[in-house]
Order: sequence, then structure tokens, then C-alpha cells
Amino acid sequence: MISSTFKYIILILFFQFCVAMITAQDTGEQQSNFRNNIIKLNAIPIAQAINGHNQKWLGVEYERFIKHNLSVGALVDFGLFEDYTFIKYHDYFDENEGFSYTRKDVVTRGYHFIPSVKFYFLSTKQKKGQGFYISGCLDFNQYFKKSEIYFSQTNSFAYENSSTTRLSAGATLGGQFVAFTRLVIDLNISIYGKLFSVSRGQNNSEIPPLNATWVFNDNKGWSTVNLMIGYAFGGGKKK
Amino acid sequence: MKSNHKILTLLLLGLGLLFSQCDKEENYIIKNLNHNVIMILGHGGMGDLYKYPNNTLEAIKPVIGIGADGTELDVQITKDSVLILFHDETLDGRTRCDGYSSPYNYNWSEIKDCYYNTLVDDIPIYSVDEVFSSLPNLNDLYFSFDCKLNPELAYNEVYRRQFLGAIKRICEKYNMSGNVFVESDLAFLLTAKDMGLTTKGIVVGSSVDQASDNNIFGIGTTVDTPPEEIDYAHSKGLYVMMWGAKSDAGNKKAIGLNPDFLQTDKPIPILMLFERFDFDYDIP
Repeated sequence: MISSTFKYIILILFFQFCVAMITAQDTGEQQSNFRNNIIKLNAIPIAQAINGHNQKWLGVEYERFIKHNLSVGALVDFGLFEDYTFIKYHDYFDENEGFSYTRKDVVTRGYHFIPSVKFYFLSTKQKKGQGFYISGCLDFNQYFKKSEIYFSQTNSFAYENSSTTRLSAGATLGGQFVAFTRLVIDLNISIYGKLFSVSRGQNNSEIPPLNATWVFNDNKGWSTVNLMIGYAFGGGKKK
Repeated sequence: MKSNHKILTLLLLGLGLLFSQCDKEENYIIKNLNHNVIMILGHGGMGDLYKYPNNTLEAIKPVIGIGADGTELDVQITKDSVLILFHDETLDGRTRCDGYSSPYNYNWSEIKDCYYNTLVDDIPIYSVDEVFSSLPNLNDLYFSFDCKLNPELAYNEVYRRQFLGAIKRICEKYNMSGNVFVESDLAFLLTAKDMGLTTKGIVVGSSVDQASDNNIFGIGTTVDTPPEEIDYAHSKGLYVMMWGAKSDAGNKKAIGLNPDFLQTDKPIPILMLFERFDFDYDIP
């Protein structure tokens, strides 16, 4: 679903990010930063660009360092994960029944709660939270889907509601860059595996993880890519 | 500090590029004979770029699942008059039946196990009967049969009637005559009429006037056809089937020409563009 141009842009961004990290390590003598807390916004619509859904959701992550290279945190993504119209035309040539269509308007809202523990396996000594990290995380998410279906032939409506609650476990590989001592940029990719899910309505069919860039094996696994911008605070500088 | 500025500028430039990729809303006003709606058909299913070969159930089911109105299919007949889905002149090359010639030289039972040369799964050659019997809501779907005549027998009247007889039988069996287009030359379509086929003929290789004079349903064109020719066909009451849309840009070029039916190798973007993409369907 993703355009090849977009794939290249993600690659370029990642490349730029790596260059930024390396450059920052080279010039790290200039300043030191040991701030213990970071608040990050997950506001870049990478998933939307890849999975093609019309989405308006926001993520907020709080990360707290318990050691120089170890932190705990929690990310909450919430909002509108799906908003689309699907029109199906019928009877193009049926002179008796006449040309008709069915229009389905679908809106899915929900949230993801993702607690995590991050280990910075490659980090700068001058700045806490700058480097490459791996993390283990859980993802508890719920989706609530509402569908309104209009039948032009009978001029009637039908309504469907469904929901999915799911718990999954995952691992993340990411890189984080701290600029000007406070501005934080975090790019990461995660892989999740489903532990369990419960779905209700619409034949109990499961709503797939809509924050995902790729979903595989019938919703049993998926990946996400996040580019987050944050603000570091607390702790202060050391000279 | 200076390097930080550089880095940030680079990142912001990257982000700018990222956002610039977001789809802009585009409005198209379609003017055609088909209720001003373009019927979207896949090309052999999901198109040339899909992981499964064209003209197989594995490629046809998804294109219908995502919301297309149907698909173009390449059809041929076997020696025992079974209408099968296959594009090439010979089975050799595309399938594991090395050295096999035209499907017309074999009975269906001899070639039904000719699997395609693919890296994934065993994908067989399908008969139209197998495909039609496997699709839900078949009578809500449309198929355009691109008739791949055996080059050695293309002008043999007996062979042509055998071919058309196979189409007629399968359409009558599934009550699909009104939902099937038959793409071929004028002589073939006139024979079809003569045999009582009520499928919709799409003539290839004839002028608009010839098609109109012979009361043919429509003409087949490519995305490179001049717009005046399409307007002229419409003015003569002829529907226009268009193919050659192999990219998103190709789709948009085709839309601008106001065809009535479009065969596309990129069904997903065009279905999304017209709010006809079913996000509920999980593409295999």
C-alpha cells in the first residue's frame, strides 16, 4: 500500500538520523546533559502514509531514566484510527432493478497503552538518552468501530458496532538524538506478537492493529514505525 | 551547536518531504455512458505487479475483495472445449509443463495440473468454471474475457464457434451473460451474435464507425487513445473499455479520458481515490 517514494523518504530520514547521531558523538565534548525525564509526542503520520488509512491520532510518551543507559516509559496513542467511505455499485446494466449502490461509512476510534523498558546499548556519555536502544514492551489496545450502511435501492440504513481488545508483547529497536540539551528526536521500529484478543460484533471479526505499518499472519503479528519529537527536563547539566 | 543546526535542518527538510507526500484531495468529474461512473476492473486479477500470477483464483479473489467491480481475464479453450484462464500461447515457460504447446492441443484433464512457475505455493491453471463456482455474489461481478485465439486457428470458423460455444455455455450456466464482456475482433463478435450470445462485445482493431454500424456494445482502447476518439465513441452510443493503466499516473490519465470501464494493474489507488476501496478486506 505504501508508495515507493515514501519508502525512500523513510530510508533517507533514517540515514539523516544516523548521520546526526554520529556527528553528535564526535562533537559531544561541547556540552553535557543528564536530564532524567523526556516527554515525547508521536505525531508524525507514518502509519497512515503506509497503511493508507485516514487517521487522526496522537501519541504521548513519558520516559524516565533509572540509570544512564536504562529507562522505563509508557506511550499512549489515542484518537481516530480509521475513517473511510466504501461505495459499491450494483446492477450497472439491470434495466429492471436499476443502477444502485451501497455506501458504508466507517469510523474507528481507540487507544494503545504501551509500557516499555529501554536499554541504550550504544550511547553517548555526554547526554543521557542519546544513542541506540532496544526495548521490551507490552501493547494493550482497544478499538471501537462504528459502521453506517446506506442502501440506495431501498433508501434505508443499517448500523453495525464492533470492538476489539488486544494484548501483545513486542520489541523495539530505536535511535534517539538530543539537540540543544532539551530537544529530543526518537525514531524506532517495533515488532509485536499478539498474546490474546477479544472481539465483539460484526461476526466477532478482529479489527487489525491500525497503528501498524505492516500486519502479517492474520493479525498475529505486526510492526510499527514511530518518529517522535520530545522535550527533556529535570536533572540538569553537568560540567 | 553549528552542527546541531545542520542536523535539525536536515531532519526538518525530511519531515517536510514526509508531509508533502500526503495525498491531496482530487475531484474528478466523470462523463460517460455508464451512469458517469467508471467500472473498475482488475487486469487478470490484481494486476501484473501482484505476487500471484494473473488469471488465477489467488489473484482474482483479492481484487474483488478490495472492491473492484470485477476483472479482465485471458481466456482460451482446450481441445475438449473447456474455457480456461491462461495468457500465453504455449504452456511452456509460464508453467512447469515444460515443452507443452498451446492449451488447445490438450484436454483439460491433461493440463489442469500444469502449475505456474512461482516461488510461492502451487498455483494451478484454472478453468472459468472453477473460478465462477468459487466466487461469492458472482452475479454482482463483471468479467471481461480477452479471447486469446490460437494463432494457427484464429480465422478457422469451426474453432471460433467452438470457442464462442464454450463462452456461451459457461455464461448460461452461471447466468452471467449480462455481466461478461467479450473482447475480440469484429468478425468474432459478429459470429457471437450469430450464435445468440448476449454477452457484451468489445471490439478491438476496428474503427468507431465500424463498431457502430455493426451494433457492437463497445470499443477497446488504451490510455494513449486521443480523447476525441473516446468522445466520438460515446456520441455514437458505444461504451469504452480502456486498458494499459499500469501505474497510479496511468490510472489518473485514464480517468481523464472518461472511459466506461477501466482495466488496471494498480486497482488499490484508484479504488481509494473513488472511495471504493474496502479496508475491511485483508489482502493475502
